[in-house]
Amino acid sequence: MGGFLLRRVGAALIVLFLASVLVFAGVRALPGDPALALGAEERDPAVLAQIRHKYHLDEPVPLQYARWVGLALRGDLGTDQRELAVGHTIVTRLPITLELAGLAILIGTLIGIAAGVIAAVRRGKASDYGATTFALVGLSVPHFWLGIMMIILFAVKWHWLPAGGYVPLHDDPIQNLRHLLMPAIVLGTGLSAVLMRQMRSSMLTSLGADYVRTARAKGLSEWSVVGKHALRNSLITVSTVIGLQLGALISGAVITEQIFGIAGFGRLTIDAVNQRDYTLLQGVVLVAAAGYVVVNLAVDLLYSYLNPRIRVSGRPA
Amino acid sequence: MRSIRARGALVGGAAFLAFALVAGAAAQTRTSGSNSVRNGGTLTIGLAEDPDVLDPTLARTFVGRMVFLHLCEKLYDLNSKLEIVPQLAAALPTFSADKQTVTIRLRTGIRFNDGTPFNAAAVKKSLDRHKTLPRSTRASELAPVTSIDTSGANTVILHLNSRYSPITAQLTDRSGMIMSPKQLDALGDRFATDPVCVGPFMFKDRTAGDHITLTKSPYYYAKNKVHLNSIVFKIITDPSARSANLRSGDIQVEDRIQSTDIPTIARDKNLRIIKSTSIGYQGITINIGNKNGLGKHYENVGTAIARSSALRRAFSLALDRRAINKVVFGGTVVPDCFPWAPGSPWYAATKGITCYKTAQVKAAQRLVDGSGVAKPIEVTMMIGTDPVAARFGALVQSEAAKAGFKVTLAPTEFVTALSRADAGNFQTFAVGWSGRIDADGNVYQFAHSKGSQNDSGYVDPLADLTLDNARKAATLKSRITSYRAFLKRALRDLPIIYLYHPVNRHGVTRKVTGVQTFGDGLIRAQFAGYK
Amino acid sequence: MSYVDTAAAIELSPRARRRRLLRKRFLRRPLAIAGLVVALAFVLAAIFAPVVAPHDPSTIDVNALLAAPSHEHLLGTDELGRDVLSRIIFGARASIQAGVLATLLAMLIAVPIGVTAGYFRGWLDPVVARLTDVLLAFPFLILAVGLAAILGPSLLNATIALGVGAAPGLIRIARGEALSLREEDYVRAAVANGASDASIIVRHVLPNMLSTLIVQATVTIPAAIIGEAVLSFLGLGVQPPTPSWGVMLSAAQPYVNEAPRLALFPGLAIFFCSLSFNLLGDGLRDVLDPRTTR
Repeated sequence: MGGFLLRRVGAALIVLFLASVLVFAGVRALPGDPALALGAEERDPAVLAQIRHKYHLDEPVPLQYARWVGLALRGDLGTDQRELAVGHTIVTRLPITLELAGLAILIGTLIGIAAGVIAAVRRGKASDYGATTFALVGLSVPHFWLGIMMIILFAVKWHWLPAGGYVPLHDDPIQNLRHLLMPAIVLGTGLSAVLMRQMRSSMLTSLGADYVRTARAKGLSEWSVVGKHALRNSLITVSTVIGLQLGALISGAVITEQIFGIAGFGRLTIDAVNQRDYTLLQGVVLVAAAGYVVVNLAVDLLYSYLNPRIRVSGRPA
Repeated sequence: MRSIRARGALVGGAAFLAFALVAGAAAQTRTSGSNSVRNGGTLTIGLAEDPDVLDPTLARTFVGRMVFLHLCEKLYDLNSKLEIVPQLAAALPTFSADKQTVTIRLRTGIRFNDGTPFNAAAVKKSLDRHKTLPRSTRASELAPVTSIDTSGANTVILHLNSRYSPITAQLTDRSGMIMSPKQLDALGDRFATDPVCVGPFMFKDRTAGDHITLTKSPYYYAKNKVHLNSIVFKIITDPSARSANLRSGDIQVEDRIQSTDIPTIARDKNLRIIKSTSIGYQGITINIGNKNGLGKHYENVGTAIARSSALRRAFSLALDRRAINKVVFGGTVVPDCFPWAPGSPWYAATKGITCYKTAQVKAAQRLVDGSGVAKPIEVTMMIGTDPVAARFGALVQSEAAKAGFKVTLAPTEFVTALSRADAGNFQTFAVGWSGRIDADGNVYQFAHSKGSQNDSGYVDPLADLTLDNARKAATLKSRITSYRAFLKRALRDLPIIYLYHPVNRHGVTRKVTGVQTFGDGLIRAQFAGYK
Repeated sequence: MSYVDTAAAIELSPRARRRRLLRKRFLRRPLAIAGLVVALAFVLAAIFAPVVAPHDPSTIDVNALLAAPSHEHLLGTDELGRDVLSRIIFGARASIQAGVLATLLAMLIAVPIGVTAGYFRGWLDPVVARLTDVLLAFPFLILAVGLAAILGPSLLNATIALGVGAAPGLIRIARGEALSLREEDYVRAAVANGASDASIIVRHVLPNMLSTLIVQATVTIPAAIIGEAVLSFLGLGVQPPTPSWGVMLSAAQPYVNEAPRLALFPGLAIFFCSLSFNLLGDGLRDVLDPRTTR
């Protein structure tokens, strides 16, 4: 187990390093002079030259990278062009997206697992077709459009829910949930569709397995057979799927926050790109990549714990 | 069985949750009170963009000025008639006979928001910083100021190297903002992390892209007139979301309502719209001579419209300013052909000059045919990437086509577009200017051959002369004469085609009184309060 | 004569028989057929748009802004008086183009890399795995936004961004397939017979991966179609006034109060187009799965 752990962590570190280089180079490749990026109305060339000097933009690129990485390892992600600490911005805006993603995962998981189990247990009947259709629709519908339609219906026409924005949890929990309900549903639909199909297929496989037939022959109740299997299958399936879907979830959060006007971490990336704020963009994308790597590592370790055959051979048996 | 009961509980719980969420909506409605203003409360203003750095010496955005208005008072301010009135100064400045020495008497007995006394030394320190700090964006505004002296504790003297009528107007903006010397010593370059000035409110905190919080200042000299406890500027960049927030009561003031939301907000009995025609303009800048970049040697770029002023005039005549107003803005802007807004004292300079607000297609076609250039004449236009720019671009394409122009749109993100404009890497650029109260501030930097933002690369010695004269002239009448002469050149050569003046419309809830806006378009809520 | 015929029939049989079996299985699935028909309809509409569309999609009519659906304009007009139906038909061009080309690009990148890594293993495999992980660590949208910002917004660049974004996932799949296929008996036999790696890959590995790749393609296309809509919506793909479903959605946002149908129709188009490819993909997966009995 120790060797496996070391290998996975080592791999994760390499990925992180390569990601940081990619971020740094990518940001530098953006067109548009970052010195102009302050929504400028005044564009004096002498002033711009001084800005470039202050942010070390006139130094050789590898030196700039070394400087950045050195500080980042100490937890200092620098200050953006508004003199605001990038770390502070990330720390304030990340929990919003985490809450949104958490709710989305909750909704997606509940619906996906329930629908998948129902479809598998009642295979071939109406509820199977219903659930399968629902999953297909969830996969095919463009989620940002779903968000717009929900805003039109639930906020503009019926005034049941707010059209967007965010209220912090500690300020007002009810309002917080009201503001996040539609975005979480929008974000969770894709996940629920993928989960549903996975659950259905893996449940069907295990329900057809010999030991299940044996259990049934022994007279164990239907619910205990299905329940125990549903539970174990769901843990493995959910963790795998979420790990694979994490990237999609973050991408979805970016566009969901845009539609619903939530100033979360997802929006931050687009804002940073548009403002050509190198320091902010680097910090944000690095944190996103690092988060992804860490979560994937955790999912990998969890999966290997649940499925011991992985540990030994290093790949799915 | 266990699972059925569990299911029942789940359904019941979900129903309750749904009910609570919808009922939460009911809790949002509030009843309106009496007519007198009460003290207390937080005003949330929804801004259209995130301000840049909160440092008056370095700041460059329009929306940043809205925050400064409540945080950092300046030597002079504007009143509702756009006249200059003293704010931190005690009276309007006095000029020497040669107009090159400006004496400003200051208010006494007031303090910065950290308790430091406000005096001439503090003013000198700030003005020196505006002039000399590396990266200062105020340096060009104060260019003719060579030195600043103090005379006693309450008088400041500016020495100019030439006559410069716009000087007082400059001091009504960020160039006239005075910062606490103690805070400048403590933070230096990083003043923006905790700005301290003289003002009704003080800085509390800021999260990039989300909000800026200000709280009432106990040091302010007129704090009895300040009713609110705090002001929160919330950044809501999507215009539809901003209006939705105003209507739901999540914000009390909305910065710049988009044209498509105006009818809905106008109909809403709980809201009112405050508006003023902008002192700025929107138009199309044409690259005539900017081949090598701003400030480098200007030479004609060689495109068909760059070589022929007749073609530029044809392009302008083909555009239907009224249709643009109707289709793109739902009739909410002011179509025009000049850089200054009707209603401003400078508009007198346009007397006698015809402005065609509808398309003059025949006249345009005649000019195009007469130019001898083969049709269709290819023109590329840089526009923004928002839906309004998309509508505008499509309409211009369709109108210009009637005169024989083939317009290709190049939607470009704003920062990149500015880079390209400065580098001369464009043919035409649909861009505007938020406007300055002095006429000079709307034309000099764009049309003078030495202008700091002359993206057209326009060089006309006669136009230069008229602009320089207008700067030096002392009376309004003589300045207007110079500007009329300038217009004759600028409208013949058309480095910029002026199309309309935006009308700034801000939404305010009727529960709050005292929120105003003047021609500069800034939201003024320093003395606002809940009823 | 009949002898020769029978012999020839038996000679062709394995491949032709399989194809006939697949066709029969496919025809038993009404949903898959529906998917095929609708997807084909979108593709044809995209190709023959100038013929199919009732109006020119760019003609501005200042006197018919936001007109409700009528005889003249079946889905009404938009904020500039342009016919919505025609814009949706022309919008199919950008979507289908992006969907198909991005998938093709992703395949062209992923299959060679994945197969090489999975078949040859050695030092190449972990390197490819790490590089794929790095690309996957960037949320697809951030990658696309960055690429569009670097290359400039256009349909071509959006297609490239989508293709590059889809490649890492496909590399993993191609690698997995190659990895398991190299353990198959016929591959081992070929190796024992002294066949070259190249010929083994071309004659045994790739053809047996084909069904997986086809299924993946039909699943990647709808994701790319939605991706193009997202990028155009954010202003990073097709630029106005060229019609694209994503651009139409973005332009419709200021008008959700007055004319919500401007947001409804483009979204429905995206939905049905991607649904049809998903149904087709599902059907193909079922048909090609050897475990299916029907």
